Amino acid sequence: MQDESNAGQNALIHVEGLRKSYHAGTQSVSVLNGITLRIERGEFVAIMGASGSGKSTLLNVLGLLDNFGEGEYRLAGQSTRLLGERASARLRNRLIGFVFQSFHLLPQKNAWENVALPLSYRNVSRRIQRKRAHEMLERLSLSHRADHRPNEMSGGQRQRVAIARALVTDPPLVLADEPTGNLDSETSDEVLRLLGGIHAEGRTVVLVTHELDVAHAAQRLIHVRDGLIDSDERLVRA
Amino acid sequence: MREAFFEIIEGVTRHRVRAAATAFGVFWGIFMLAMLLGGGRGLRNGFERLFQNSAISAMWAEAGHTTKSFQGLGPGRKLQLEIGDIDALKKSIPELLDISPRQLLPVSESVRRGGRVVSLPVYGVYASFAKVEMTQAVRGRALNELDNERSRRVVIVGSRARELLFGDASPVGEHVGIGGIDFTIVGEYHDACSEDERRRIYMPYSTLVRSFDGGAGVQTITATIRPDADPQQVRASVLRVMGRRHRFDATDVAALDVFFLAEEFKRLQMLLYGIDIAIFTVGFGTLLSGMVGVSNILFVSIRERAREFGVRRALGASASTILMMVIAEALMLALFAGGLGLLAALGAIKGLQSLAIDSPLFTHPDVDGSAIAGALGILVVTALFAGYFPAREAARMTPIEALRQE
Repeated sequence: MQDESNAGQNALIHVEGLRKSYHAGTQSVSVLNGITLRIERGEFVAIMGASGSGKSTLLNVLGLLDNFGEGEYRLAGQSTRLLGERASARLRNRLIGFVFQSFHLLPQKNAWENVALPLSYRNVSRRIQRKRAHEMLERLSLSHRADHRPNEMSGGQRQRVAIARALVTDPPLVLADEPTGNLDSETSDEVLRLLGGIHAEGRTVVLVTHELDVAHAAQRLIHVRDGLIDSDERLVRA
Repeated sequence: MREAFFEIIEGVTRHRVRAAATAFGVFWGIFMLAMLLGGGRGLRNGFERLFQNSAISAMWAEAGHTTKSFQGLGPGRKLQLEIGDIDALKKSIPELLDISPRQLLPVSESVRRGGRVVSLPVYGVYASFAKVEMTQAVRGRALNELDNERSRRVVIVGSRARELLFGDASPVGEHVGIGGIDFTIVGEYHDACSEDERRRIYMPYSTLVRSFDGGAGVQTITATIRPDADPQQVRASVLRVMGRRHRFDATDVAALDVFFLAEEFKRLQMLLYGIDIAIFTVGFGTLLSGMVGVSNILFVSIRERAREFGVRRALGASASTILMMVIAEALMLALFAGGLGLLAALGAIKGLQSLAIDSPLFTHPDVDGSAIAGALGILVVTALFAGYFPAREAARMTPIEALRQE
């Protein structure tokens, strides 16, 4: 019992009996029905499931973007159950990098300003922000696009900018929600290679997808069905 | 800090035409508020100037007709004031100071200087009358008590009367003929109130009585009252004393018209306060409608930018950061447009000042520092309100709710 508890505290993500429902008028729809899950530091996990299975909701809760009803969620050993809004924002900024399906870049900002955005919530000087953002863009071979706005870039370039933004604060956890959903197969492969590289650096990557090919980029595959974990398997690379 | 400032500028200027239209509402609101305050000050200056050359504590009493029967005498009698009333009032009512008769020579009397003849009003007064009317000697001297005691044939002339008789030359020591009698001019006075008052010529009351066979008649009794005296009580005392002397009911206020400038001044002050409130209400209302525009446009803006707020929240911005950001945008828009409006209004008021409008009821419009500070204060407070409600809506969404907005 003691060992199990310690293991829970050492895991980067430890979820126990997580429940969440949405209320529409007098009706209540359960989306997560008691999920228990542990993700260790350095894992690359893919979450799959049909539309409405609760996979994206689970990712949003893991990313502290959404709240939950019952259960417990410990992130890096810290309980998030009673976390205030400001503390949640701080944890998101320090521990999590997000990669969204539709990139979610701010259209009025150029590439480096988008990448630097998370640093602006850390009271980092503009000079340092610019330096770090340019370093990240260089790493992702996008230096030449640093001063371009999102509407001047291809889908793949936008997603690489979004990945640069997710990594600029050097977070231990990267959450990617359908990161290849809006990309062609060639660009998708490139993005998956990047996520693989991020994992290889020792970061934990959690990826939500409905494409099996994409999921196979991960080491571990979790199937969600009706708000519960249907299967949880280790993947062996060919 | 600099980063946050640029973020706010970027937020405000994203839709330039819309921002400009909204800013114009605020600009116009503060412009109107400042202009109305400036105009109100011009009005107040005009009214206050009317009182500038009379002591606020002045009292004027003129004979009227009785309206009540008293001791067998019927109503409708015309009172005849006499010089003995002056002494009686002085002796009986200690609150009365600087008491003086004022008697006008018939208008047919002309003032002659050499070959020039001008019809000017000539009054007989005591030296103390200068304290009631607050005439200021600009050349020579004022009338004094010795002039009256000795019935000296001396006069003082108003600045307009001097212009008509002597042009720009000093009248002091010169002579004028009034009703065929020669008088020496001992001084010239100025009265800023009106040209009519600057046309007057004053001589000692006793001189007027002796020289023109005026008897002991008195047209007007003037005085000042002690600063701590209540005009209503003084009026009652005057009516009581005069009622005994002239046999009329002391409650018959029509028999003797006793007028206190302080009462008029108080009424005027109330009127000016009323005008100030009206000006403020209209100006503030205009500004408020501009601010409602700011608030509306921010509501539209935050709906358009909901996803942006969601992204910012996901990347580490707290709800209070979003709240402050939207409020700061409202403040910046309001302060920029309001500042321009205030500058434009100050420029327009300076323009009006340079036109040197000098109407009896309107002069020197101006906006003082406290009014500017007040207008800016109102601007900031209304901008905070205008920004707060849209900001609260923006901050209220969870990050995922904001990200899901279309």
